Amino acid sequence: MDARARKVHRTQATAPGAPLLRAAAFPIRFFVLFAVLACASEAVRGGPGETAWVQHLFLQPTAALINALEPGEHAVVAGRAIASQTSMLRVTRGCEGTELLLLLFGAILAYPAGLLIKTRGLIAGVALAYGLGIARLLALHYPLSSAPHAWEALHGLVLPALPLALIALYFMSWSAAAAATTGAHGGAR
Amino acid sequence: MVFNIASIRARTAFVACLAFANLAAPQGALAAPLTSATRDRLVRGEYAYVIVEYDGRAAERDADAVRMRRRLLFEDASALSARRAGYARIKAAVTTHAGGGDAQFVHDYDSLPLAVWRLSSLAALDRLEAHALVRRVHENRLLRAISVSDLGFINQPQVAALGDTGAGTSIAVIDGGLGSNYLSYSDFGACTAVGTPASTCRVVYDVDYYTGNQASAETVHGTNVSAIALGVAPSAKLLMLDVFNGTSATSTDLLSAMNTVIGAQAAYSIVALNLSLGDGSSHSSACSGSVFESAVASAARVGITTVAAAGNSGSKSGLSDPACAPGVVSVGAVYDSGYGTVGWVAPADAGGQCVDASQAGLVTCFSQSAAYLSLLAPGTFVNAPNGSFQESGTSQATPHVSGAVAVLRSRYPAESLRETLQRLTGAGVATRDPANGVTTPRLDLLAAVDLGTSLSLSGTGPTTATAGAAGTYTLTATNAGPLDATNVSVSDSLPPGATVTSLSPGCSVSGAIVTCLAAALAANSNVTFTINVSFSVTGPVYDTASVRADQIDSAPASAQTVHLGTPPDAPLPTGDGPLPAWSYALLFVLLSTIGAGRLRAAARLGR
Repeated sequence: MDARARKVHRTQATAPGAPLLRAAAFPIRFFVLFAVLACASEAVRGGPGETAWVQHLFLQPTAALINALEPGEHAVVAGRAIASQTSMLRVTRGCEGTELLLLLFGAILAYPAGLLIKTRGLIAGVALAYGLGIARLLALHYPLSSAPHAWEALHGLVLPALPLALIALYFMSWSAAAAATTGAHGGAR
Repeated sequence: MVFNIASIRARTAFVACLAFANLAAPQGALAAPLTSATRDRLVRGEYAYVIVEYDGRAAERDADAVRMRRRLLFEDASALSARRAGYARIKAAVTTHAGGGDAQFVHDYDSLPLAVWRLSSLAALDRLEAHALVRRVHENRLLRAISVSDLGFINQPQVAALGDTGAGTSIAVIDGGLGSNYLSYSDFGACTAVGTPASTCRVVYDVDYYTGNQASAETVHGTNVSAIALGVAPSAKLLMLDVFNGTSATSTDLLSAMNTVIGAQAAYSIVALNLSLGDGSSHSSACSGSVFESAVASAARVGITTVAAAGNSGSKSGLSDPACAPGVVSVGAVYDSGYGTVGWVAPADAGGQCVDASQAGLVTCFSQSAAYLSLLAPGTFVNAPNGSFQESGTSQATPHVSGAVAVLRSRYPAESLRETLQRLTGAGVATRDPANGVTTPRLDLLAAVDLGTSLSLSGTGPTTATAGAAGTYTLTATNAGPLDATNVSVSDSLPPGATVTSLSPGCSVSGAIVTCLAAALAANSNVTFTINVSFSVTGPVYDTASVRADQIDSAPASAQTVHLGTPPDAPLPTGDGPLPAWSYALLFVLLSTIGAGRLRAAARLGR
């Protein structure tokens, strides 16, 4: 049994109801951590950091993907928009999925698990959230140009719900793995 | 030789009937002045409104008795009341005997022996006409403010209602003079002298080459012809050049008058020269040797269209001179309505006269014709001015076209004379002369005004831009006709961030608008303009261009506008993509639930 497990064990020994309290405290910790991350994100909004994050990491790869899939579109990044022959998608605040990523970050950080497990969870979560962000922008571009009548429904319901479900499933999967790992080691925090 | 009223005598059945009607006693129906068209309607079971004239003599005798008893010169209220009561009794009697489901009394003129009936069968008409107390059944005719009797047939009233009345133009008429008629008839603009008062008088020039030799018939002819032209173009002015010495004129005098008109064009904005005269000859093809050819060409050079009467000899194989002269718009005559069987003096006819079963649109038997005849226009029983003089002939058809030229030149001053003629002939109603099988367009002024172009615009150019890069917009205007387009203007609105670097000839830039002009664009041809720009922005750009010209255009507006790129404010292709707030809240709840649930489960396992 390693030190962390022993510590948990001690905690359990000294306070038998502590795990339940920890479970109850999770949403609070999650909210606080998410708030801190959101504030940090807000602090860099409008600066070069955000430009690099949104335009270079999300918009340019998305435009490149659009052009690769359909060269005739001539998609280019214009500020915070992806402009093409057939449509112009303005990527406004949160459109790229930063907030979803921060929520996932907050949840993983708030969850009592080992550092290695959290690091792995964060890395995989970032990859997932990033991929979902790109996929969402792609998915918004095509109906905008080819089926604009369906765009509102896609934009307002389907496309937010799908990443949410996938992120929730991912967190469920990760937390299960984390719990199993922690349980095998005799506890978790 | 001129085509005057004396040379064309209408010997019509209906005239004879009218004469008979005036003499006959009012016992039963007389020859009813109803058109065959109205009778045909009734035969078909359609309805027609007619004006029934009653035999009101009994009522009038009653009123006279009252008036005389009261020793009055004119009827007073009680006498009028007696007359009205008498009329009412007569009308009631007729209604009782002739009325019915197919003959309804619909409107009364209580002080007149008249009433309006709605008939829906020929039997109803027969009952009315047979009634002893009915004198006549009249057609309910359209009355027009303008005196020329057949303007409706060429759709002139609709054109006038559009405001196209020949304003700013003048028509020169070389004919038999006005005499003092222009002072008497308001159609000439309430003149007290030539050009006086300037605000209303439409006769701006009046010269008599042989003062004191005006024959009455020639004055009537000149007055009638002039009034017809002014009726078609009610804002145009008139120049009268009376070249007749008694009953004839000479080529030299006509050329002298044409010379004067050409010299006066600028001063009076003369656009049409009316020649309701001819030499009685018959030329089967254009008479390039005519003495008038050069004068006509000279007139065209200063913007005057020469319009001449085809001739009244009845020859169906040629036109008279000067109608045959190259460049002349020659005009034959058609009926504007049915007048029954009509006989005419027609020297070219074997018997010296010809007979028509007249109907609207029929080419008259006296009207000379040939394959190169330009137009047909109404030329029978034309009443002008102020309905006072009635004349017939190609002389009367000709000023219809002269007036039409004035209207078209006023409406489309930038068009060439060729285009004006294109309008007149291209919009005309194809009319076949049954005597020779030649089909000639008949004047339809409304269609001529409406005839136009079919312009479209196409273009290419960048829809997205990169700062520092160049771009080229290419715009092509195409005219599918049938008319040539004049003053073709292509206007291009450049996107923000685009700066012109070079332009095609004919183009200029003002701000963000590039305007490219072509003075003319022939039918079935196109013109291309190129606009080279450099961009100072990166991103989507939107350029829009449109084309227009002087003419009325039949192409849809969408064909005349080009959109390159996506309009910045277009709602559908542009979208903002923020996640809705509920998604954040939902994910927070989901993750909280999952995390807390997992921890509770771990705690239970731990216990």
